[in-house]
Amino acid sequence: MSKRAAPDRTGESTSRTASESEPVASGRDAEALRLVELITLASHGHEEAFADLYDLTSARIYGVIWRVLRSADHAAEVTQEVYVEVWRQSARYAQEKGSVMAWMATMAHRRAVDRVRSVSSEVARDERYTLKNTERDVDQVWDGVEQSLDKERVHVGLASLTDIQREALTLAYFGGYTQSQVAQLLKLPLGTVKTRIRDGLIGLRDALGVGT
Amino acid sequence: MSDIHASVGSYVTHALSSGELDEFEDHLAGCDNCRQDVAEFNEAVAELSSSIAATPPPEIRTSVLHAIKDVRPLPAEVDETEHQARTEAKPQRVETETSSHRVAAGAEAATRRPDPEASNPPTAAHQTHDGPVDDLAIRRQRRANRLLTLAVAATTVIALALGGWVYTLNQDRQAQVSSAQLESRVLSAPDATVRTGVLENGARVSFVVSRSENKALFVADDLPPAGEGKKYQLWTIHGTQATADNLLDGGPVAKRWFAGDIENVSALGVTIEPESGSQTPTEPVLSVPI
Repeated sequence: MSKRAAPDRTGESTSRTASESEPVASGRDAEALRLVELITLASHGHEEAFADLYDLTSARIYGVIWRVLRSADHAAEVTQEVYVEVWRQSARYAQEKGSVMAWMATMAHRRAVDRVRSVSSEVARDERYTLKNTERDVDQVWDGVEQSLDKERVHVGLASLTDIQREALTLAYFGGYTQSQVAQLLKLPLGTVKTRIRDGLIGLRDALGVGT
Repeated sequence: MSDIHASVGSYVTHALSSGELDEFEDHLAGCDNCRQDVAEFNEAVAELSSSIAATPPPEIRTSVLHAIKDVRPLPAEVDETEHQARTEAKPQRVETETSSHRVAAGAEAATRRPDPEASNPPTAAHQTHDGPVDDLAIRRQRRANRLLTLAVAATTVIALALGGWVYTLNQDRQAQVSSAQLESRVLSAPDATVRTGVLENGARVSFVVSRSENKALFVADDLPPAGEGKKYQLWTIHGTQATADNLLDGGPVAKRWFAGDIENVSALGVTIEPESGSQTPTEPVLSVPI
């Protein structure tokens, strides 16, 4: 029997017998399952499965990293580091902790932020997020989020996420600033910044329907 | 004095300084609410990545796949000292022939190996020979056969058969269904077998194995807690040598994949060990031949 990494995605979702307690998986569920399979195979050293994992996730992972670093060279290096780390840690992914994508995106973001902080003296000030380009980029990013949401789900919408929350969240997440730096940039108390970031995430979570 | 919970958003967005990070991680260890928030916020933030996706230069793929050739994935749940012990030290000899508890997991296993129980360990609480215990062995074999028959259909109903786990509609479902996918692959492999045994504490455990898939899964319904400061430890056994494998806790649905290679293993085992794991078993191994 040939050791193909896994049945293809179509095969999986159609060959499953529906039972009372198990609804048919949607496209995103099927992909999430596929990622779990691939990361598990990778943890046993299956390089082909890892290549498939790369192909399914690299655009999003590179997207996060590039948005933070704004430099193709740095983004390329960090992306490679992240995927090697994903490979090394593949056996330590645990389903109880969450989706494979969230696990990887967190690692990617962490490394991107570490890199941006360590090279901030090299990267031209203009290339990093400042209040000047925050507004333009905020709209761009969040518009994209709204669009992709409308395609797939019916939700409250991002109305619950206020402008000031988006601003704080964008500076923290995409800007790679510490909460104290965000407070300085926005000339706000630290407590206020913390609240805006947290409330922004609550709004995002609710709008996206994450959790029960 | 600021409210530490309020920092959860900054934690998720990696906006804490290193001192703040240490402080928050200490807090996180003891705060269920924050851990729940962290998990959910991470999922929400990961969703953002879809709208900012950008195709990376193809050179990155090449260099990543090249780089991983020199690196082995780390084993799961093994702390550094044990990891080094496994990779550097020779496994010690373990008397699995005479001191372990052999369980006749059905007629198939019994006919394949000579009865090693001439010298029954005095502590054995689960003898597997005469009287009512034979019925148990037969029931186990029937159950294993049923699982294998279901495996031919290769559906996720198999996972239900393994312990009647209920699938719910929330996030947990994804985890359970995806585990079922892997389990169904192992079960539907042509050489898939299920071996069951009973621990000293009365727990019934199963090992689902496919050499061709090079995977084995330890499975138990209602696994009792291992005890204060202890965990269950899995072992792969080659002849008389037991090699340390993954750790797990008791629980209503206990499952753990074996991390090590299965291909040349002669038996799989489980013991209860100190929670940091042991290099060699500190008690007789419940082992089942595979």
